[in-house]
Amino acid sequence: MNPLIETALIFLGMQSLLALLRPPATGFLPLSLGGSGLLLLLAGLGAWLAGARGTPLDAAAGFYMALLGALYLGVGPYLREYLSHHEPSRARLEAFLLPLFAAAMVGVLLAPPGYAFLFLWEGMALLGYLLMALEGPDGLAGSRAFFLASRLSGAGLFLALILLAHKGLRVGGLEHLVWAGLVLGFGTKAALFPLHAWLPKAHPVAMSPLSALLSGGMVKLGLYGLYRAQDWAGPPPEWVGWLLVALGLAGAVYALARGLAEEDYKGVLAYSSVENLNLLLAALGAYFLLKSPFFLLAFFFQQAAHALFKGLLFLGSGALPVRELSRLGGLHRLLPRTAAWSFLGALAAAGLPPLAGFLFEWYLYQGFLAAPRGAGASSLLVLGVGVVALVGALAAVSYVRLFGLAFLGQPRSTQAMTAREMGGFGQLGLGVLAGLLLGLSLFPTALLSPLKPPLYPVLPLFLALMGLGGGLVYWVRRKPQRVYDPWDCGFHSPDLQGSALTPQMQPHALGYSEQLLRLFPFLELKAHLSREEMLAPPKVRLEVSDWLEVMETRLTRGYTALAHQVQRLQSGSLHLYLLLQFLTLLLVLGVVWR
Amino acid sequence: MVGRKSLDALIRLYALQNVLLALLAFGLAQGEWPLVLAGLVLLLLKGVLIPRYLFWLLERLGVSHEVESYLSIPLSLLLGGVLVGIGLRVGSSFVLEGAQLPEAVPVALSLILLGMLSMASRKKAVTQVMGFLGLENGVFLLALAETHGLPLFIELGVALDAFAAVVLAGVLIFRIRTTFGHIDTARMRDLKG
Repeated sequence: MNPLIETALIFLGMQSLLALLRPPATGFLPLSLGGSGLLLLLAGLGAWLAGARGTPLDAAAGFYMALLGALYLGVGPYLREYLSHHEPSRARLEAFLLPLFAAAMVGVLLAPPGYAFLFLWEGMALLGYLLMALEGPDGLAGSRAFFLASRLSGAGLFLALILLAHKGLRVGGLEHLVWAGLVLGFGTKAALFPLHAWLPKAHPVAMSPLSALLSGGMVKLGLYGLYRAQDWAGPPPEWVGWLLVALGLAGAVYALARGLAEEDYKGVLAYSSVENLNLLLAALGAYFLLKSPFFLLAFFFQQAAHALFKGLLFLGSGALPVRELSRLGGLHRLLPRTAAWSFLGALAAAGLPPLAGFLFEWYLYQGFLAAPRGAGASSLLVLGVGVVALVGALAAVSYVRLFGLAFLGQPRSTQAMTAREMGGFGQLGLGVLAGLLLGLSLFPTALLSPLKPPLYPVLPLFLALMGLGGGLVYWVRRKPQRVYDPWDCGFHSPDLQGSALTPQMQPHALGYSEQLLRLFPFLELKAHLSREEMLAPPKVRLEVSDWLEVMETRLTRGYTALAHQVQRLQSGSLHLYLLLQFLTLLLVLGVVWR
Repeated sequence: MVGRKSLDALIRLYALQNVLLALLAFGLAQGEWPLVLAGLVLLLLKGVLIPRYLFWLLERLGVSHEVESYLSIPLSLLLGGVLVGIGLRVGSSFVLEGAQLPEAVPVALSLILLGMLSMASRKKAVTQVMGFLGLENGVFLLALAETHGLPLFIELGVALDAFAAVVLAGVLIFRIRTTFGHIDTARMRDLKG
């Protein structure tokens, strides 16, 4: 194996060992996690750029390894700062488990298909669950959802990989079963549309660095699996491509609309992750169908970009005092640096031109527009252009809303006034990710060169946009100006203290998106008015009802009822249990009855 | 073993079965010492030690030496016959290539099925242990018949395993009796979620 990777894994192991022997050992995290990240980044980029073909580290695995490495590089220093605010006993556990989790993710990339892969895959899911469960009762629903999803994912993968291991069985029709298992297994992890429900529950409750690792790193491994599965199980049947495209595009729109109705800062980010992942799955599906290089470019490029900007945004969310958007506001004064990093992340996530998100959309447009014309079903893919356009617009609204509500305006609660900026290590972690994101945005060819990408001139566009923006600012600044708050009706003037406006007059988190939500019939915003006394001011409670979630609850209820029925079998009688085993044996023997 | 009402007779039958199995192992050994050794251990452990331990157990427990079953004797004999028939019918498809003694495979399967039948239908904990031992003998016979002798260590391991299981079961039965005052597993119904 590559000595760089070996060293990186040793670093991670040492960190876990230190957390056990000399707790809490968080001081070493920048070196161990960040250092291993740097090594992985170098090793992975080397393999990716050289187009390596050998096992275990070929080009595709190298790409994901570089992606994980970049994340670790940012999360390492940040984590030191973050864990110093935790109790020592808990920080110790986290400093022990997190490097193991990081190492398991690297292991998944190196493992051949089979039991080693399943072991590492399940180990990764289990460690993630444990880290999430450390959040205590608040995180219970989220960590449970995560656990259940990883069970579902494991079930699909066990089915697929065990079938693959018995090559003699691969006769007509069985490859469909293998691919169904793969799509279920990896699709659940990559938040494929109807199976995504765990992600917006789980990621917000995890601590911010863990959310960054989950959203930036772990879910990408689901995509890695689906891409890599081509080598394991041969070219996918056509229905896989169509399924991924259809569910991916539908899921992207759904997730963004649902994200607009979300009040939790990290919840919005999680829904945005679902949207990005579903678009990526759609790009992969379209690549399966058409083999068009544009989709492959979009697929790889956006994964790197998403890992960086989502890592940046999630790490930035660690500095927020509360997570509810309707209690944040005005944070750009208290957290100027975090606000700047988050702004950069939000710009990239919204897909604004010079940054990475835009190039992804551009590749998607190119790919869908270049779909073959004619009578074939694949000409339908052109319709994807419309969906991508809708998604781009919704993403922009979503990030305007997120950034505006959290960082601009006036603080909506007293907690929002107590925010404290992160120290040096935290800023270093964010700065690393931001630098990588900017580098990737300005020099995409540096990463994409093995795929020989067609590209618009990135740097001139960047310079032109900067010049245009700078000119606009200069032109506006030159005019004489008067400063007053909007909607203040002129109350604010130099000789009058304060303003007639109160923070409650600002747009509410749900009120802001209410107009847009009317467009989407599957979401309903309900306002409940209640009054405690005759003269008390009415209280408004806003509620989002979502068809999908209603269906989910019903499904859960039905399943629980079914499980209770099965439990009747468990009467407590030892003889009944023995009899059941006996009958099972007879049944199995009956299979060979000739 | 299915049709006897007396536990003493059951244990004696079990001992006889083990002696016969050991003889079979000697017969198949063709002078190779690992198989001879395995047979000797079998003879000593299962033919002598386990039956003696079971007799001692019955004495210490002070329970009646009568087999209590959900099924009457004629019915269990009938069912046993059916199971042996099933074993013989399907047994032939389990014969591997190069099996040493293909004729013994259906017999081994029937033994396993009979062992499970007595585990599922008998009420006393001791009789369930007997059923388990019968099942275990079936597995041993299967291994003997299908392969040219398993590696010595595995053979010994399996034999010791059975012995340890019986000893453990004995200890457990004692605990069951001290806790509940009886060893009737049909009356224990709390093992559920």
